[in-house]
Amino acid sequence: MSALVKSHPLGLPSLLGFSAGLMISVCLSQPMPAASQLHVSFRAAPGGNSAHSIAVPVEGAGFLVAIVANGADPHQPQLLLGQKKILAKVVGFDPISRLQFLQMENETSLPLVAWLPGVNSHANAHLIAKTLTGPVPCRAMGWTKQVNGKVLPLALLKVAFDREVPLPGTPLVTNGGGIVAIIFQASDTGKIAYAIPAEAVHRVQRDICEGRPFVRGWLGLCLRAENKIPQIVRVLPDSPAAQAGTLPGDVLTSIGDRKISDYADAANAFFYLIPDAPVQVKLLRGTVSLEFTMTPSKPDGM
Amino acid sequence: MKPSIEQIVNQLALKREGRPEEGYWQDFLCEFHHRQRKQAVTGSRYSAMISQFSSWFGSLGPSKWAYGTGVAYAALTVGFILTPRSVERENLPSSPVKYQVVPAPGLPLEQLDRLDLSPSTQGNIGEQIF
Repeated sequence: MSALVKSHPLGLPSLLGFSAGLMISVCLSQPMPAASQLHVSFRAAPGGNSAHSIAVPVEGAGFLVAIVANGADPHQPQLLLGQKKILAKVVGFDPISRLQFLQMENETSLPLVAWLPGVNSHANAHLIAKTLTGPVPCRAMGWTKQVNGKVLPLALLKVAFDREVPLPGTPLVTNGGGIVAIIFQASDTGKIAYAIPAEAVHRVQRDICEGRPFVRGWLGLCLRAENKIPQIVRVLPDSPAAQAGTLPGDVLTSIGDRKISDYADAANAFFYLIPDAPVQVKLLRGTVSLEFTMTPSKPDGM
Repeated sequence: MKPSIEQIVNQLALKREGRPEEGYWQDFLCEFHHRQRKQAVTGSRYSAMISQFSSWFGSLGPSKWAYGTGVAYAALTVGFILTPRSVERENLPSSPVKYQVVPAPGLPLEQLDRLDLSPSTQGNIGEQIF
């Protein structure tokens, strides 16, 4: 070895420098966890499994949002920055969307992230998943409103990957960097993920981060899931819908800005209703199109 | 009533007066010959063809019957091929068929209260209140 070093025309320092540079290059080419990305570890609930989620900053007061996978315990989560534990408190957990909001106890400045207000224009677009190991390209493939013959309480974004689906909570961003959705879970096929749209996160955050449970606005309309058309089968007396003049047999065509073509669309639109916030509801009564302004209320007992 | 002698004389006198003009018969003969030549020219093509064919057929000798049979067979075959077939008609039922539209059974859709995509999760069926 010494003979080799001595015989080298550039000498020992050059060889050591070359070796060090080679090692640095090899290390940089390996996927390293992003030191700035926060993630949460959840213990297993009784009969369930432990889970991990990326924690994504949301606008306002240092809040973070994470996904609590089914089977994981939403209580006592452990917030981590790389391998370092970060003190954080649970602001609230919504069992419908499985979204959990956390707040860091120290006044640590979080990276600024932009959440897009609407997702529809990106429902069939190329996106980037910001995983722990770096950006991964993916493609949004429209909305999923039902899975295994069951209508979801809110429509999820279907996202295709070329590789294994990243962790729940992983933000999906546009080329401009705005967050479109966060991954909820992988499908059975492994390379398809379902993601919660940014607007749903905003809607749940609105209630949870103000210290109250997430409550959907209530109109008093009865629909049947097996009906192909979103037809109102019953209107509860003294409900906001009854006061507005809705009748059984009316067919919903839109609620707010959301067009409705089937029952699942209606169920998704009802998820976003805010109590005491008036909403425009368009109906079809026979061949006549009608428009009502309804003010949803809180369901009984809330 | 027999005509009188005087009437007969008058008739004969009229007949003598009714002679054609000078040169009439010459013109008539010229026109007659002209028409005859014209008819001979136009009518001779078809008859010439027939006469030529008859002479050719007659000169074939004993093999003319074989030629004739072949031509007749070919004519029959062409006639058979070109004859339009009668359209086969389906035996339509005498009484009208009753078609009854049976609605497809509705899918047993369930409404999930929570985001739980596991296959074992049970949702709510029937009327949903929003």
